[in-house]
Amino acid sequence: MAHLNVDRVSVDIEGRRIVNEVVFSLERGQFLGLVGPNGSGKTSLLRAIYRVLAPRSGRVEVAGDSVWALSPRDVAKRLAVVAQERMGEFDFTVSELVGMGRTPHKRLMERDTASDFAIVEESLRQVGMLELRDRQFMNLSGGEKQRALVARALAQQAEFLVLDEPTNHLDIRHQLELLELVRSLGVTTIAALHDLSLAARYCDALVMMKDGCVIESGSPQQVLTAERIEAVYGVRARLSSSENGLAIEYNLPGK
Amino acid sequence: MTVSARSASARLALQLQRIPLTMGLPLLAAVLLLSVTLAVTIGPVDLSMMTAWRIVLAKITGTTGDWSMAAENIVWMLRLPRVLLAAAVGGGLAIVGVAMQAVVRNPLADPYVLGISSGASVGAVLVLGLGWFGVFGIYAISAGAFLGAVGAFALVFLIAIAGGQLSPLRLVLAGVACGYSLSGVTSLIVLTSDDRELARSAMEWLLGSFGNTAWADLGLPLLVLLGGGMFLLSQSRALNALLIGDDSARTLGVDVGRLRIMLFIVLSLLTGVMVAVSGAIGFVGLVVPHIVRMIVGTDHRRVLPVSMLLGATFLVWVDVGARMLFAPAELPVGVITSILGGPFFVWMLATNRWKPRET
Repeated sequence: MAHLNVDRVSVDIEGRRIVNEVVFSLERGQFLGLVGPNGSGKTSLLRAIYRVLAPRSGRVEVAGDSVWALSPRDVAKRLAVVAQERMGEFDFTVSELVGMGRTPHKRLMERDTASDFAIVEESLRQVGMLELRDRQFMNLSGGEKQRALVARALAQQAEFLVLDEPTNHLDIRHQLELLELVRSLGVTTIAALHDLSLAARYCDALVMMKDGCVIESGSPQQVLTAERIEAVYGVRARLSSSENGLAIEYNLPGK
Repeated sequence: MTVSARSASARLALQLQRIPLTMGLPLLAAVLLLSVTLAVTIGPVDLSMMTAWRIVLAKITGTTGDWSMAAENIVWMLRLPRVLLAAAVGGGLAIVGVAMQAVVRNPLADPYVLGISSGASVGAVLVLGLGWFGVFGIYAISAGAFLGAVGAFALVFLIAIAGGQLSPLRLVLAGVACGYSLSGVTSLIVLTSDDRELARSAMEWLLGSFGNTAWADLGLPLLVLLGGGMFLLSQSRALNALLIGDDSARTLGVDVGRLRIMLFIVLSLLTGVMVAVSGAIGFVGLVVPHIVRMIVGTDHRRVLPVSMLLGATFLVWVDVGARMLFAPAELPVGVITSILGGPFFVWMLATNRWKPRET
């Protein structure tokens, strides 16, 4: 059974079709990259997958269960999300924020146990944030914030990870470290990514979207061709194989 | 504030956060108990703390002692119910403020700002001026205030939700708008009434007071405070998650829609009952949670119980001030909280304690 099954999912926002009849599936332990230009519907599709945005039609199944048939709490136990989020006016310390990852596992009034603290500590260590545990989240740099949110998702101990542009705000080193980390977890992962070279290097499979539709899906070699990149992104691309996979050089058309 | 002072206060806050609740809460409870005791002894007739306690114990166990009947009446009939009601209302308003701020994700929210106190005022003035809700007898003012509070909360909620998504900003704006309109309605009723006394009695109620509190007035507020407090505490983790955003809360397994509706019901009940028994006392729900967050951080598992105890202690002392500052005349409690609260609000804005949302 596929771990994630997206079956003809369509999403409408204010009467406009944002995601159109998207179909793909993902095996356990696979890392799938969702690529496509701004406004191609990646974030909306992910929101439908993690049960925040109700699809107009279609089904999203995690391990055979439709996410909309499960309670939010049961979904949160199986699926952890790192989204592009802005904190409001209230600030938490890093360890409080990461500790929130334990929320779906706790019953009413249940206190944090030693094992919760151990999980939080381990999650912080994995993203290299242990030293910053007592800092206020809002005072962190963009990259540190992103890593703290990844740690929160790790503390959720879900079997499935959804990442919406996780490498945003990260410098090159942290981009590589983050994707290496996610790979090493061996958890089924779906991530919206902007950098096609990184996507090719770390993902088992890619789904390329444009205007809400899947243009192509399959292995990175299959999906990423110069013609397709030009058709989807409107840029000329020159692909060459490199030591670590794929090097892509871009140019605006006509240059 | 200088940089070093700021970091010193940050360090202090961090150390205070490390104090376990199992130590901090009994300490705060002890301070509250001491405050209640002192508040009972302070007044035109001086009593010792010992006498006060012996009278209370004798009353509970049904024995008598060597004190005067007057002392017994002052402690048992006049001062203790009043002080306890002040404590209950202070604790109640403080936790209502905490939860409302989480719901609208804005530290400037409280029953006053969201227009709910104004709704209660309309209800109370309808009773005082036009004799509505007469079926509730001596509880008519309370019933009117309660219905007004619930009605105003519902109105604010509906206006805010009319655009589809319930955004925190819309809720605050809807609250401010309703607050103004409802205050206008209150003034209209008072000014067009034939009853000359209404302006004075309405004013008295609007400014909030614990005068003339009897034991019978205590049951409902205490019950609602305990019930509401337990409910909010049980939702601490969900409230924490709500503070980082609706989507994030959902991905952490919180049923945000259901939580908002339940909070709406519990907060209307809490505010309605507290305002009904005491009048419109502003700013407690604003000042206390803010100070508490500065000390213990943002986690509701700490903020809620600490706010409840601190809010109770705060209002006990404000009420002592109301009785003593211009004795024998009595100030309305709401006057003191407003005089303290207004500048506090300005200070919050000026010191950037309240930061506009980063984009």
